Amino acid sequence: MSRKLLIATHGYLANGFRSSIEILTGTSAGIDTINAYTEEGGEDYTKSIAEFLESVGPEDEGVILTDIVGGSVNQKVMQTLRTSRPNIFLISGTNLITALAVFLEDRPLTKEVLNEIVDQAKVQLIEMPTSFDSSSSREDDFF
Amino acid sequence: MISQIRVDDRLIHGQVALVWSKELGVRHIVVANDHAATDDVTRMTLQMALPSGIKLLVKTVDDAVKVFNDPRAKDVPMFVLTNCVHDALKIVKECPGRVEAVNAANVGRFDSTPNKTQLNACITLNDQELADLKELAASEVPTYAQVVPIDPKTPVAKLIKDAGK
Repeated sequence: MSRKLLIATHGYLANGFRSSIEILTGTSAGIDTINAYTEEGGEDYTKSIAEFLESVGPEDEGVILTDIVGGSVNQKVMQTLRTSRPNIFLISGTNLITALAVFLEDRPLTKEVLNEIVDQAKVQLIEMPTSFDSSSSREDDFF
Repeated sequence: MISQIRVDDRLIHGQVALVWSKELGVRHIVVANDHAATDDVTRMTLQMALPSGIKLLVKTVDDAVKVFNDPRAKDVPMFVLTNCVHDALKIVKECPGRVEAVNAANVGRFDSTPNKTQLNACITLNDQELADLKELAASEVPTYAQVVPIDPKTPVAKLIKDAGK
């Protein structure tokens, strides 16, 4: 059994995700990319989607990560998939945290596991503090 | 007990806390760094890099040594980060029997001293850091280089020898 990822995006975002994952984890083995509408990805990438689907054997886990829910890339993926398959999952609105977490997840992938990953990978607004409380980190809370 | 001291010039970053705490099976991380311990914003950003369920202590190197020698620390597996070999060596020397391994992962990449020694793609050392690393390699604490868990543990003594130093 192996886990196979296909990251499919408008432009080179897919290659960018793969590059980031490789820098952070040291490997990007098992990640395919479609960089749609570029010299590399071309206009008709349906064949690449179909090839990915064929490469996912019955014992494998396949995850397709796309950039925009309503975008043409996600539409093409859904049109190629046609129906639900037990071992192939589709995630859209992908951010780097999601892609990393799917790539690194130790548990077998299920709908529940992937929902948990998606929930934890929220985009967030970071507010800088206006002042700091002066207590430094303390051993008492640590042990 | 310190499961590993990792020398990483970025301290906690990206997946380091997540990947290594999982790999080592630790829930306690200590950053031993004089700047981080005294700078509020650095402390805050390090805290943000933590996965949930992991406790973090940010201390000056001297204060960290006191923590590691605290009787309560004996049975708690800890993952310790320093940003230079010098600080790791100080901890090894001042906490005898408490350090299980030193991992020289990412070292010296932000140090612009000329004529540094390069040991591999992730380790470049000025003369002081090289001397300190030699001392660690000769100590009884296993000292190796391993950026991510899937990398082999390359003994630092071998890297130093291969670099002809």
